[in-house]
Amino acid sequence: MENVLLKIALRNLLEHKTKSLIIGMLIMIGITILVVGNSFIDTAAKGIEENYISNYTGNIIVTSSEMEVPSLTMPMMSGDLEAATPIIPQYNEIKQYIETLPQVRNVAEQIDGLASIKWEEKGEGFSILFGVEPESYMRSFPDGITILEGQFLQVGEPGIILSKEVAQSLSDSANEEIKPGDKVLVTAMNGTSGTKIRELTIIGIHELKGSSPELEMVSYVDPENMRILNGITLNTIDSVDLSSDEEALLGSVDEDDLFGSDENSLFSETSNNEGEFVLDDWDSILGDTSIRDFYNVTNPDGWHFMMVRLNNIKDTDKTIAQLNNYFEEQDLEVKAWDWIDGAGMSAQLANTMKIAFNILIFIVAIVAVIIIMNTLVISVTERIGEIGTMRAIGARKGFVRMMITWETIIISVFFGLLGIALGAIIVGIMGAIGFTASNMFMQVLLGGTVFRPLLSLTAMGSSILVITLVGIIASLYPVSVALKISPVTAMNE
Amino acid sequence: MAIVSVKDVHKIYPLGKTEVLAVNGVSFDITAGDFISIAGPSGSGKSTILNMIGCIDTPTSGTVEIDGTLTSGMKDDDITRLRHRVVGFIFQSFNLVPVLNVYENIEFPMLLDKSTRGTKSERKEWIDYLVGEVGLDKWRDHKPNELSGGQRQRVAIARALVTKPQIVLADEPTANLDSVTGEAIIELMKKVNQDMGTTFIFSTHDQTIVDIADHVIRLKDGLIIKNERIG
Ligand SMILES: Nc1ncnc2c1ncn2[C@@H]1O[C@H](COP(=O)(O)OP(=O)(O)O)[C@@H](O)[C@H]1O
Ligand SMILES: [Mg+2]
Repeated sequence: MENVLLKIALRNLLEHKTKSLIIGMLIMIGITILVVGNSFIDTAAKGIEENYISNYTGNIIVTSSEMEVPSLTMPMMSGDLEAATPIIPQYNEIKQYIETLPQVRNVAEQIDGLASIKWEEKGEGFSILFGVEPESYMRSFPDGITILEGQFLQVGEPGIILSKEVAQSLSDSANEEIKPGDKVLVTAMNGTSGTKIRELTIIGIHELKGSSPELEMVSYVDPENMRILNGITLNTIDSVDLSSDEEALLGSVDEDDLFGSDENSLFSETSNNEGEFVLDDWDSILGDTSIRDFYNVTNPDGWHFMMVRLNNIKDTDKTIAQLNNYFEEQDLEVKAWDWIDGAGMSAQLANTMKIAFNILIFIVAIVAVIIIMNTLVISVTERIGEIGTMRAIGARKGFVRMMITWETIIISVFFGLLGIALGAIIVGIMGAIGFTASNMFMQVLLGGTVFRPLLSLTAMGSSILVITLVGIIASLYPVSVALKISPVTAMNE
Repeated sequence: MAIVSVKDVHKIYPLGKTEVLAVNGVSFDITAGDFISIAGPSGSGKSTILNMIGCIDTPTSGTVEIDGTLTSGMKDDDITRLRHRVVGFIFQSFNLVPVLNVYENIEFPMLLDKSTRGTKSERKEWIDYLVGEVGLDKWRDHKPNELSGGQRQRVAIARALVTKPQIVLADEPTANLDSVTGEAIIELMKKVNQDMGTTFIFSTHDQTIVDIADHVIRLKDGLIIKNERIG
């Protein structure tokens, strides 16, 4: 029976060549777009993924559960501007636990910040700051950073590594080239811990791989100075239990006394006649610094982010679930996130593009369904007498259903395969030629300067899935029309 | 023995706000192996009665029994199987499948059910015989649109016979043919009736054709005005 079904379906398609060709072309073009588009996006996403994961996000990001968005490059996005970026509680225990998991390769940690940077009176700029432990960071992201001048952070040594672009903007505004060894004033921009200023020596100038507008603004600072800039201290004013001796020593101190805007304020304009702030004067202004020192003892385990690198990218979802389970069991206010959540705009832009493309495909698929369906309905109504005759002489409903379905199957498979072949050829040619990203936006999107799309198996697989669905859905209504044809219509031909 | 038994059958078609009484209470039996003509003017209910015998339409009231099976209240697949097993159809407009050639059109009903499929060579032997019987040996690879009306109706006769049904129904099989060709078609049907013992029921309003029948049921306005079996 399949033979005669196939024969009839095929001959009907050939009988109506124009109609078949229109539907076929539509399917072929749709599939070609699908294969090319998906291959592009998959290659780009893979490039971005590899860049981000292996250069600075890791596969999984762990933060305090108070963090709203675990954004590494947009610290101000991480939560309420008015609140300090939360640190990970019980950092050591958590790191130890994560490091024992067999699927974990490395764990690195980071403190985030935003700062304005002032080079004496010569130049000013702005930077995103990453406070990192040089050893673990370099172990996790060995290829991410290229040192252009000087060197990277050294263990236990204070200092800052400027990004090429930050250094450039300082040099530009100063009309003089900034070099390692120069000192800059770094003023943390955050709403809560009071204005913190540190003077830092430039140790090196670097460039991050897989550059994006955000990543180009990243400078690295030693963790101790980052904690001071962020106010990550062991003793906070309202939570510390002081011994009676200490109470006596401190008297009734509150924040306003230390950082307030009254006459004695650290930063009041009157403290310096020329309106210029000289660091060497601090001690003399304050005299006894014991109070300040007490509150400035930084928390050596204070980190905003933990970046976890896995041996196999496929374990990501599983590990995130495992970690979050563990945190819940242990009653820890900690959360594990997918890298994409912390990767910032560019990576998410690629994701958004993928979603947009899928929506486009969805719309194209609906249009295809409507056109195919319409054509099939017409061909069914043209053949009412023929179908009625078949029913009269003994064809059951199942036969009629299969006859219409076979038409859709033949046309979908034939032109679908043509579409896949055409798509594969286009991707192959583009891959061989290479596709140069002409501007930064494209670079970010494509995950590099020269883009070579690869034919993706998932693209082909999803194309086949889409075409199957389109075929099935498009034939539902025409089949139901055909099934309603009564055998008696054979008489009225 | 009655192969078809029609009892007090009415058929009412709704027509706008009124109704059409197409068949107004008819009863008759048909004996297996007969060559029956249902005669009458246009609109007298011939097609309606044939459709009900052929199980492609159902009576509004009354019963139709085919080969001992009551046709009312059957499921679609079951009634289709019954139709396929017992009835062959010859249509006024030939109704061949346009994309299939002569051989394939005749083969088509055999492929619709396991019980008639057989092997390819069994089918070929039988179809070749039928093609010879209807005189189309030279045309077996031609498509319907390459054939004359008479040739097409010969294909239809072979197709109706291919599943070896007990009854062949033919609704005005000669209406689209010239009188010479029409008579030849009826002669062919009569020959098959005699050779194979197949019961033929055909409708016509052509008196010369009616004369060949050995059982004539004459209708007028949905009623039987004459029911005469000769021999
Ligand atoms: N589907 C239908 N709907 C309404 N009226 C019909 C339908 N089929 C037949 N009729 C009417 O029933 C009557 C008998 O028709 P039919 O059986 O076709 O007669 P015949 O075949 O003898 O010409 C006619 O008056 C015809 O108009
Ligand atoms: Mg009629």
